Amino acid sequence: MVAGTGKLTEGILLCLLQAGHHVWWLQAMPESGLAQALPESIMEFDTFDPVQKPEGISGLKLAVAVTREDLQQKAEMVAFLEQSLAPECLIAINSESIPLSQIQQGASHPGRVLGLNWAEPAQTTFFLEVISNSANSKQEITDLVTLAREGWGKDPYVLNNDEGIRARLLAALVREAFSLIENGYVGVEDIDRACRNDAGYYLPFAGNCRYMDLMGTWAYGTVMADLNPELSNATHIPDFFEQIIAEGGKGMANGKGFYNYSEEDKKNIQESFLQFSQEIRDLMSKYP
Amino acid sequence: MEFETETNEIQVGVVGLGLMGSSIVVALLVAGHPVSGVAPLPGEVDGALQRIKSHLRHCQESNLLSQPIESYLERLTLSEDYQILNNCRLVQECVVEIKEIKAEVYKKIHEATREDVIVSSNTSAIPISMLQELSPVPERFLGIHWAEPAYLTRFLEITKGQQTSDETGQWVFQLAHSWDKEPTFLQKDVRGFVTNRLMYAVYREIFHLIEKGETNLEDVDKAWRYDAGSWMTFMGIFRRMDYLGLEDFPQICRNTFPKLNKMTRVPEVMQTIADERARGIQDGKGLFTYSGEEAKHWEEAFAAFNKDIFRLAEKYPSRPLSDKSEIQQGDDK
Repeated sequence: MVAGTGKLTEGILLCLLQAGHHVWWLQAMPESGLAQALPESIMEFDTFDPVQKPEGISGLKLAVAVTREDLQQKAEMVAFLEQSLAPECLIAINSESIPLSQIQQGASHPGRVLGLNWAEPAQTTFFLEVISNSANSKQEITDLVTLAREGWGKDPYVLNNDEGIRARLLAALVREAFSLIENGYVGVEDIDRACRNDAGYYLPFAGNCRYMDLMGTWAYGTVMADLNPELSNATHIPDFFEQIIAEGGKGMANGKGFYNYSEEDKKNIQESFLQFSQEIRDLMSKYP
Repeated sequence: MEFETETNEIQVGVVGLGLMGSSIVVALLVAGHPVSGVAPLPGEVDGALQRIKSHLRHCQESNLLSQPIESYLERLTLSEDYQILNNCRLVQECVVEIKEIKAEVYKKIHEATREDVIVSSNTSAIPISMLQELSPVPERFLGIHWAEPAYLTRFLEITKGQQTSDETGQWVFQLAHSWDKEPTFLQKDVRGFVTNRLMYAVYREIFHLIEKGETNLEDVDKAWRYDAGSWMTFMGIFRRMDYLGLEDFPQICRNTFPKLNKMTRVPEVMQTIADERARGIQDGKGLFTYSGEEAKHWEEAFAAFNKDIFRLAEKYPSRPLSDKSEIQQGDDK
């Protein structure tokens, strides 16, 4: 079963349907009314069933849930699912920055709740972050990882300590980018160009640790001696980002974000990125 | 902003024809410029010409050339004599990272060429604001930093020093677009390049998470390669956040920023590697270890990947948006 809405949820549905699972999609969330229409590519699967309530489905092994980054929403989602699901059904919920133990707190069976993070578009990326803690069964986590690796086309990694790491790495990048802009060195576009034209040329091959080895490793240590003391340690969100949010900016969804997008821009970028995503997956799968 | 000048009418110079200098000469030739290359060290010209020809063949194989190789070579002049720079609008310095030598080069450039010449340095070690004090005309001095191979990557960092005039910065920024580059424009000097600072911020967090035992080398590489590596060739971090939707990011930042590492020292494992001068796949010792065969395998795979990723990236150039009015720009404070 998959519970959630939005682009990420659609990708998860596609990923699980392509893997051959029978997938029930829970449309009615605790707080939301009608969900959005789904793309034809999902609806055409015989093994796809939209449902209004999580009740009366026998043999469910896994519920994948996607909510906003909000503890209350996550707790409500878990409570809602627990009402109807058999105790042996795992609940795998997304969480970038909220510790798993906090989400487990209100659950009747905390050990069935684990963290599961995806990378959009979930139907093509290899990314899968599994977050567990001492409440979870090691065997169940291992089984899930095996399933994701063998069935879903993922190459998962597991955290055993209650929190994920993807958000930390991204936040480290964002914090430094914010600081460079806030202090007048560069603009948003400059940061994006720097990302695309440097790391964009090696990250699909290897993560940064392997990349250092490919480039000769030791010099990076000497640069760290110079740079680490100068990197941003900020804990605040810069005014220019606060302002975008205060003005209702939601990013591409409503055309207002760090950039402005027309409907046509949005369509172009989304279509082009979907095509890119398939190509980059093909490319990545050629290399170790 | 209008920029009407054709590159074939702008003579440019390169001083220093080592590996990087030769590669930059080729990038400028391919962009359509007539190029004057000065070899400050005696006997360098022949080797440079061979390298340039070889790079041009590489360009031809990569479908970067619109004309036969000979017509590019016709627009190239190489010499040990600075006088060939006499009509240059822009001269790129690309010599060793020693201040005294660079100062001498700047002096010779200005003696040889027109009054309104702009001089740029490819330095990655010395702050531009410091270097420009060595130049006779600091307001027309700035940093243009290339990545290797200069004719193939879209990477370029343009850096204004404290004394660089706005006109100089804008002129070079506009010109760089006709080189098929996507320049990052730094309004003022900062230690390390923008790309370096962004990635070293990630490195710092990576080693912190490993030192704390939260994760290990393999998994942290998976996390970053499979997340960022799945989109970063296509878009930068801000476009990515726009794409995903901004609503959750303030909360994620508020939860995560205070937990991020503030380490000012070198992570232990990197200190050991630096002390031992371990060279990764080159000597089998790095963050991971490699047998001779494994190292060779990684090297070959990475070389093959490089060709693939250039081809793929080329298919997805950054396209201008219809409305650019409200893009956040860094301003000179």
